[in-house]
Amino acid sequence: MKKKILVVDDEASLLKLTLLRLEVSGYEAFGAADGKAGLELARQKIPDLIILDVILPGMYGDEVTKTLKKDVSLKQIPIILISAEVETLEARTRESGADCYLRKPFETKELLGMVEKHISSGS
Amino acid sequence: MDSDSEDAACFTAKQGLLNLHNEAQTAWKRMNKLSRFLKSSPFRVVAIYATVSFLWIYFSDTLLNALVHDPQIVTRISVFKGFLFVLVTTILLYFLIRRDVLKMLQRDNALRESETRLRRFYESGMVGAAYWNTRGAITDANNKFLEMIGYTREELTAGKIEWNKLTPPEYRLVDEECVKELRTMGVNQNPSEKEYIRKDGTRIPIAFACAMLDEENGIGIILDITDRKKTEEALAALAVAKSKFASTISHELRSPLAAIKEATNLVLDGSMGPVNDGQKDVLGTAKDNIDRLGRLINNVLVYQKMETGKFSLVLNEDDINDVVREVHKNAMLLAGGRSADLVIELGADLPKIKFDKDRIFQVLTNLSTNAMKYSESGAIVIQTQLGNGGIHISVRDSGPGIKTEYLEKIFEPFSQVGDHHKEGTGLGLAISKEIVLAHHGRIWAESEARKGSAFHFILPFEEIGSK
Repeated sequence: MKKKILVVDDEASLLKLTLLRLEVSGYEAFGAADGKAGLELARQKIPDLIILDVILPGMYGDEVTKTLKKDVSLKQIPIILISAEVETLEARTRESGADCYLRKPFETKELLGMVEKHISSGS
Repeated sequence: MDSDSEDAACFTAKQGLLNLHNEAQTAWKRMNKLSRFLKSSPFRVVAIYATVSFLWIYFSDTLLNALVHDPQIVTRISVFKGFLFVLVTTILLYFLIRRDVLKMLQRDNALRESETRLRRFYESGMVGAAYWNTRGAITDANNKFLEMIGYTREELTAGKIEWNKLTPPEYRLVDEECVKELRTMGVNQNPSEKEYIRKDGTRIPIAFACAMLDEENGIGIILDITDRKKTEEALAALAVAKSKFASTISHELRSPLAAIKEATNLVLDGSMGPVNDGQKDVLGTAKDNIDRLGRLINNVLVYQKMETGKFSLVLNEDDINDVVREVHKNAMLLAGGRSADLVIELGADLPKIKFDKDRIFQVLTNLSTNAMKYSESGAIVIQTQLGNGGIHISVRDSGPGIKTEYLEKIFEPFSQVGDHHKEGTGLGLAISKEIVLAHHGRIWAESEARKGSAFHFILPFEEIGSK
């Protein structure tokens, strides 16, 4: 069975392309455009990995991460934070408890490598 | 030992000469004092008067007795002689005193003139001026000063203005420094800046300098610098806005760039269906330029941080040759076919010094990438050696060279010069310069037309405080 990945990004075009990239790489990918929708989708579908943009309308990616890490049934899901806010990204990752981070624009190889590493260790 | 005793002898001789000199000076001063007293006008007038009177009394009778023998005539002349004495000495006194009085009047006039000049300056209102004493009172001040601090002349006359109450507590240190300088030098060599608390409680930024007039009194000149402070604040706000703008822009540019990059990659790697060689070539060029744009955005951020001093060095004692070897290894990978042209000449026994390894790696990478970019053939040499108070690192190429007038300009941001416009971000050398300067080092370029260029930088031995 295909591994499931949730991508949350308010940038519609990048969300679309990331989903496309994950699908052609053999994953089942689904997306949300804001933090709240992302949280709901995560609870509903229990993905194997979550890719979270940081700057999201309403609820930032690091807050979403904190909420997820507090939830007993979801806290084992690996989370990759992605952002163009490169200066604060490392600190946000550390504080929120996310597993790793990726600066925008990222290399496809980097993204896939990270996904593969965490998705296998996570399950 | 010999030189020691020689030194001692020399010292004694010097001391002797100095003593002699001092004694001579004291004697000279005493002589001067005496001659000044002798020349002083009251003494002179009295002395001349006494001499004339003495001579008159002594010689007039003797002369009279010698010339006239008739006692009757002697008596008559004696009476007349008394009147003559009064007349002569009166005329004498008149001329003696007149000279001095005239001189005094002249001096008085000159004094009044200079006093008027000073007063005009004092009252002109160009600057605030105030007389004060060491007990803390302001004894007199011009209107400009009163206007600055918002007090009236009546309050000044009533002694209600005290200078140490005008100064806010946080500037007390500034005042203390000035007082210290006044005690030793008698005058503030340079103006200081602080604020005054006005009568209504608001503050006014000022620059001031004082001079002692005697043991207890002094004068201060005070300048209102409100306008300058406003300009400075506006400039600081502008710098913050500029920095924020650069950072926002680079964040805003990143997101669309990420989408363009991913889209290009999806097509280029065949995920969207087969790609022919022509398409691959064109998309490859697009991808290269996406990466270049990414580097440019990064560099803008990095440079902005450096310009505003918001970056700090991570200093560790390291071997510079290790860094050069690493740069060389990376450059060889990048250079591919041209790897044989990249040579390193490492100085032996270089001491370990404190520097930021990652940043210096960045500098060396910038310099060697530039060298490779601009020279199509010929060797590129990276050299390390001791010299110029630190470790001297140079990167030489055999490219087209740089015109003399551009040798300094190339370290400014976005200043690719000449017609050899190569792909770059235009910030590499500017960033390198900031990094070397942060190490308290020096960076410069040398070049000879058609014989290549050399870039040098020095990492000094001196301890670098982390910024």
